[in-house]
Amino acid sequence: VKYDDETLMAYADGELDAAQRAQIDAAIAQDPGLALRVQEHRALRARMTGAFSRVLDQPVPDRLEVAARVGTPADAPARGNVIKFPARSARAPSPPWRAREWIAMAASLLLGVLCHGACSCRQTQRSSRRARAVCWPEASSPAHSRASSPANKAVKSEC
Amino acid sequence: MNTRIRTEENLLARRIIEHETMSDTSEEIGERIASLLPRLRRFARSLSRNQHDADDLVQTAVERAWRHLDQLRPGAKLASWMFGIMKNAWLDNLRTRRRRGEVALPEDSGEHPAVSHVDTEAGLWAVSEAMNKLPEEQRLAVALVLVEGMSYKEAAGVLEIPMGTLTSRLARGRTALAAELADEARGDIA
Repeated sequence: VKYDDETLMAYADGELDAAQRAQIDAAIAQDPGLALRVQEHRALRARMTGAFSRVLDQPVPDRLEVAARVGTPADAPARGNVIKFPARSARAPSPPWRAREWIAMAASLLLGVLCHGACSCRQTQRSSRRARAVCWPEASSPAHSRASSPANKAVKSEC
Repeated sequence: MNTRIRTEENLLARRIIEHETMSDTSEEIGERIASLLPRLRRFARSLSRNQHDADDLVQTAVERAWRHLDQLRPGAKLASWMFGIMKNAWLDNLRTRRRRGEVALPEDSGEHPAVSHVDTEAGLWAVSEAMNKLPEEQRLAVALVLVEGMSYKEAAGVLEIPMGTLTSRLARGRTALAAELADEARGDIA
């Protein structure tokens, strides 16, 4: 009986039923060539399994652990109804800015400029009496700067 | 685009909660997926040329699994389902690369040197290069049966192909792999 490669492969992989296995066992006993082909299938399998098995021993990267437990953040209540999404690609990018964000941005920018202005005033001793009264009550300078008066309101609210 | 992603996130959240009430809690599913990570990484590594690409593939598959949790049939084996998702993710990835004209990865994108010992890496490298030369359907069959140790039946299930197709792909893949590794061994001696 001639055995095709697929049958020998299935034999080597332990995929044949008992009757087929017994047939090939008997054939192998009489045919060293057949035994060699089976041995080659087993050797290739062992090499493939061996080569990649070391991946199992490597530490799993944190990002994968997080992605795997996406529905189960460690700090969530027992019910786990708080869903934590992985930090990287699964997270949706921020929505485009609308008026509120732009106004907030402009306001903080303005505040920064005004604070800088106020500091400059302090350094040059040209800040207004109002600002001094609010921010530096111990200072007293008669100098008055009209240009910095809008700044004073912001500084006052800040102080 | 943003709206679509947001909707997907909402859907995901709802499905996780729905699934909780269906059978396992999301914690249990998370633990079960996490326990599969070493095997998923090995499967991905046998399909990819380096561990970094492999881990990206695992992440894609895990994220898809959470998004499509409702498609996991009751009683279905989570491992088989996850391997099937990874198979699809890998094929999608290959198609995308081909559309972009990226036939293969650049030569210098091989194994990350810091991963393991040089001598053991060399053995993995040779086998990995040989795998990389197989047609994708043969690579999948070899990866599931020879690397993962799945039965023919389970592998055929993951790949959604008949048993006969699996065995013929596996046999052809084995022949090509054996020839490639023999060539490579001869090349080392020469």
